[in-house]
Amino acid sequence: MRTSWILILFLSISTSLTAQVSDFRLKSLSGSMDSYSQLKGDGLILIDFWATWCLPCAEAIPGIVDLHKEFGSKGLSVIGINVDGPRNTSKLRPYLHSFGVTYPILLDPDYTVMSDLNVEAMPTVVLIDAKTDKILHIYAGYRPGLEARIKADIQKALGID
Amino acid sequence: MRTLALLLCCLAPMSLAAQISGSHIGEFQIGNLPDQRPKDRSSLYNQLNLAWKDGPFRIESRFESYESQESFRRYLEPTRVRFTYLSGMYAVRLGHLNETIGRGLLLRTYEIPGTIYEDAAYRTRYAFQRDLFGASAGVDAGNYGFRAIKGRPLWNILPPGLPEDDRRPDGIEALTGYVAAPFNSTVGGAFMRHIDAFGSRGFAMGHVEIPLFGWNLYSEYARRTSSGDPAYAAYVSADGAVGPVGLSIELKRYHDFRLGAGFNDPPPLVREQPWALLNRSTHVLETTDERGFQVEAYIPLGQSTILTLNRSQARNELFRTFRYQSTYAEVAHKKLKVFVEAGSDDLLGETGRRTAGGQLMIPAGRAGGFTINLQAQRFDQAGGDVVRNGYLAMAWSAVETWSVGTTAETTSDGRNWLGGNLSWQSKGPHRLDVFAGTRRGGPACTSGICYDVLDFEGAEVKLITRF
Repeated sequence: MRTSWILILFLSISTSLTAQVSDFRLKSLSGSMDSYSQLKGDGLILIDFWATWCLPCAEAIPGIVDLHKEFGSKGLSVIGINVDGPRNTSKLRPYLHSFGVTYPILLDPDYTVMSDLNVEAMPTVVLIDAKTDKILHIYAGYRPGLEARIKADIQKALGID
Repeated sequence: MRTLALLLCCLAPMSLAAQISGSHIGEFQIGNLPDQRPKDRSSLYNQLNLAWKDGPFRIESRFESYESQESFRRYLEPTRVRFTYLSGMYAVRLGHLNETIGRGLLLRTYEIPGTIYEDAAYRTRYAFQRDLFGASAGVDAGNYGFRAIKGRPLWNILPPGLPEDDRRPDGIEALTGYVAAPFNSTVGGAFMRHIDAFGSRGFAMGHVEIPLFGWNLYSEYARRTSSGDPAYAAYVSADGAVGPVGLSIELKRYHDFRLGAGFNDPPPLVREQPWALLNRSTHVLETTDERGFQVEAYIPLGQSTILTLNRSQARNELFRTFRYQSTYAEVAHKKLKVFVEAGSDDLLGETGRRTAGGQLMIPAGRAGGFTINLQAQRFDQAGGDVVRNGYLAMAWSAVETWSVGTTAETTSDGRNWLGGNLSWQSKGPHRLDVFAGTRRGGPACTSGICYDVLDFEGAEVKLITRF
């Protein structure tokens, strides 16, 4: 037990500044294999981990759609990573259709990328600097007002008043 | 395995080019099941995840420990060691793996991140997951792909600390692949051998996916190839849109298709409910024999309103006929959601079920907001009693920092549950959750997986750190 705590302390201090996204490759909703490096653009990238069974995820999606519409032409790329199991695969297209989602959706049913980024809560939104792949913010869970907070962080990172 | 995991922890920080990341969950409980003694039973669960990455190589490990007053329940185990090589279309994985074949008719492993499982028999807490200890290697080029998998799936109702041979009673060997076909369609299949103490048996699976007039059609069929009684699973789905309306239609027919200790997970065609009372009444798939369908429609009503309709129905021919049916409607308008459901499930012993409720979020600008969630349910229980359940949750949340809330539940047999929770997210990598009071257990379904949660009375402190 003591060893675990020493390891946590050591690793928290020594590695807290290295949070970067490594390239990953997942199957998209349209069936193609897409990679993070193909989709990230050269400004900011917002990754939304979501599932159809998650009520707070449904609260967050309209706000992310709005952010994509507002900042898509100003350097923001958005990727939705769906972590539903096979039982909900056939619902994904109809579900997204109703929200008017137009950004790419990748499928991570085995939690490969979710585990890679240590995502524990649903939804989790990750804001990344696409040039350095450095994680700027992780927003775990949905709470009212989250959209406004993400928008402020995007404006700050893009240098928009 | 323990040596390998410890070696990883020592060697990983030495490579300057590498990146180390990880997380830790620590949960302290003082309390017990409401009807059990001692009331002040205390326990501590720790889970440490470490990952080391360097180019295409990745090594992951997990250590779990549990301590309680009963010394025979304690354990400290490295419960995951995984080596991965990922380069373009090539992937090789060794150790504790997550692999799914097709839509899960033959094999599906999973993990529910952050979930700590405890059952009434073992009273030991551990990460809720079903992995596969073995190896897989494959290629996925987008227009073709294949994978070879060999391993032993975890029987996850047994906690760490018990012999691995007991926790992994099944072995599987599988070869699966797909290839793009004309008209943007895809065809694929798998052969799998299942080995256990009673011998081995073979399975074959084929699937086809065809986009047609804006719709996506998928079908998968699997059967046991060894001699004996027929065992098969058939699944068909169609999803698409009619104007602004999104629609999903699914059909199922499963017979004698529970494999081993349950390492497959065919789609149950039952709506995965986010509402607490309906989630507790989820129909659990009976793969011994089940047939049925599910239709779900998403209908936009104006700019900010979506109507969701679902109808699911199933029949089981066991020693007698069991039926399940559910009709569900939900309207979501901005931050308000309301739903109604009418259903019955012979296997659960619930008939004449009526459930209604909703959730309202009241934002307070960038400061946060208030959430209220209210639900009510009644059904006739097998035996003649009428059961009524009530649920009320309220929370005030400040964006990204803290939230405070309370949850109250009541049922018509006189039992009540009342709990309060506080959650605090630091500007750094830490999150603290505190709970005090009583919490209702029962069946819970998350990520498509259903399991039992125990009632709890006491206090709980959970610290999550990500680094």
